[in-house]
Amino acid sequence: MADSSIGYPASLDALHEATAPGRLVASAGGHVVASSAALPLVDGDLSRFGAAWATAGQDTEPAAGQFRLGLLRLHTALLRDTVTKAMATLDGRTADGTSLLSRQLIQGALADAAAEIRECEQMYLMPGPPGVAKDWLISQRLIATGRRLLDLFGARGFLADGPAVDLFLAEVTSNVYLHPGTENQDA
Amino acid sequence: MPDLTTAGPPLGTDLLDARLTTVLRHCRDMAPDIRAAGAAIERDPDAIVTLLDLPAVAVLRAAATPQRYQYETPDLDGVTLTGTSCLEWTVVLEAVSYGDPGLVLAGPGPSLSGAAVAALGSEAQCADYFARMAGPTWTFFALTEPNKGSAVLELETRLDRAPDGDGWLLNGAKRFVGNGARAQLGVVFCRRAPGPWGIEAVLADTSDPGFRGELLPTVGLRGARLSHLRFDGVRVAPAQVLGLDRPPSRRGFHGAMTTLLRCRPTIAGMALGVGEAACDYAARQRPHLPAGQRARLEAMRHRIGAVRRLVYEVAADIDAGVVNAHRVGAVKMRAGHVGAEATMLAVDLLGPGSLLEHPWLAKASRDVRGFEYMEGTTNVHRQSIFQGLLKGTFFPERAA
Ligand SMILES: Cc1cc2nc3c(=O)[nH]c(=O)nc-3n(C[C@H](O)[C@H](O)[C@H](O)COP(=O)(O)OP(=O)(O)OC[C@H]3O[C@@H](n4cnc5c(N)ncnc54)[C@H](O)[C@@H]3O)c2cc1C
Repeated sequence: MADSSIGYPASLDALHEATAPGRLVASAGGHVVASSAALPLVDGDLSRFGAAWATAGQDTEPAAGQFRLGLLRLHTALLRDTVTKAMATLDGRTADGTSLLSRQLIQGALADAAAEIRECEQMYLMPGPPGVAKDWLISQRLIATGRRLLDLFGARGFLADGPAVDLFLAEVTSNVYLHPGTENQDA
Repeated sequence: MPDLTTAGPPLGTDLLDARLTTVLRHCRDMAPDIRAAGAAIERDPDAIVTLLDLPAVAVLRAAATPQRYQYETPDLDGVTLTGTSCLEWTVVLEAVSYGDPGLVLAGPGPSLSGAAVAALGSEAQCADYFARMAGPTWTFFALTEPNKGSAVLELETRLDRAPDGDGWLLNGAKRFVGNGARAQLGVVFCRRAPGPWGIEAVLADTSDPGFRGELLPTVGLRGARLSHLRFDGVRVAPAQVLGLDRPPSRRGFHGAMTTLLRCRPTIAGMALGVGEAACDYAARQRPHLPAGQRARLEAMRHRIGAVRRLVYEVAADIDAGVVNAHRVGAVKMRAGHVGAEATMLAVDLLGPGSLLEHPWLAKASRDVRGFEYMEGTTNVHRQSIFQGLLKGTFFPERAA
């Protein structure tokens, strides 16, 4: 199981390894995303965030349900961590002599995020055929929750040495591996 | 030069007069060059120094400089910029951000600090400050602190009497200040006494002894060159305190609020410019979208157009001296949201792997998030809108 506490790129590598030992998992669209240590092909945009991407080769394995499920688990674990970090950060910020954590707007936002994470976890744990559309739906909700959580950090949520980086990478892997590719069909 | 737009005039621009429509079109026509410059700044934010000949740089500087201080007056298809109108500035920043918002933030010129100097400064302070813009000179506006962001009234940076009786000493720190570590001068908000009227705005030179700045890495808007600033006994002469001849209630804090109010529509415009660009990008890349997907895109354009009308409305109100802070904050908040949603929609419409294969779109979707924090966060504006509702002043009286 990937561990979100070690940073997203390393967790993603662990997920590749757990799914396809010794190989990297490729998306249906033919892309591979991993840490820049595992995939040292330098890509300007992602390398700043500790990740890299490449076009799938013969040594890659196509993403199956297990890998997609792993990405969703990783994303929810990351969001749980982010909730904890947001609480600690907001507790340390004060206005009018009280911590921002005591503000109802903040409490409401954290409560909504936590409830949303739990719901998403149930969605992917429910028995029944895993579906590309379902995975995408869940990941879209996780992305929205992550963005709202980041906003709670104030400008710290925009720094490249803070939680924004891992959440951005989770958006990228979702876009690469979980997008159902239905953009040519009617909405 | 390739045309970046796929549609006609953007929705919501029907409120602009012929003069500003010309300004908008002129700045939009510069988009391809601006986008190329934005990509260079994304790779290396200091690349701005190689891009100073771009016409957009001069236009941005003029839009923030009152005409009597402009040392060059760019001709925008027969129109010159007044440099004092909020609506004009908003239109320019929106159109340039359509090309790339990084150029707006990276460029030299007065920007936010210029608005503070214009609002508070004496004739001599304004003349000195704007004379330095002939530079090229980069400036900063330092309000946010490591411990105090939204709670600006509680800022802790101190302005203490110098022990030798010669002016004051500045002590404290600021964080998330655009261009702070790279600028030559800027405005620092600091506390001379307790309470809101104890806040002063002072002009500081980054070469002054005791002034230190370091860059902060960001996920987007790298051109902003966010900085952490430290002041260890920076000497401040009376001539550096903005509007010292005014009563305390009409200087420091008043200046910060006046500046932020004037700049909120411009930030809103920037967010909309990025959102509109994302819609156009998706439409250009996918000219044959199925009807349902195209409808999503058109719905997004309509939302952007609606917010744009509101942005223009509050900017025009500010120019007319009618300032409703609740409405100004509301449009800034909504513009940030709709801009971000537009980039996410474009990512979706371009299909799997679009964040890898379309670096401009990936950059836009990271950049646009920065507008959430600039000039007040969503929660701050939510609370202000609510106050407007309580006072019965949020909704305009006239029915739309
Ligand atoms: C790209 C960029 C450019 C910037 N440029 C400048 C600049 O040039 N100069 C400058 O001075 N600053 C600048 N800033 C900083 C910006 O003004 C601050 O980030 C902003 O004021 C918020 O402060 P903070 O980050 O400390 O967040 P905080 O104030 O700590 O807020 C954290 C969270 O708590 C919420 N919150 C805060 N107070 C309350 C409350 N009372 N009730 C409920 N919720 C609350 C906020 O909405 C946010 O979600 C910039 C930031 C960015 C990202």
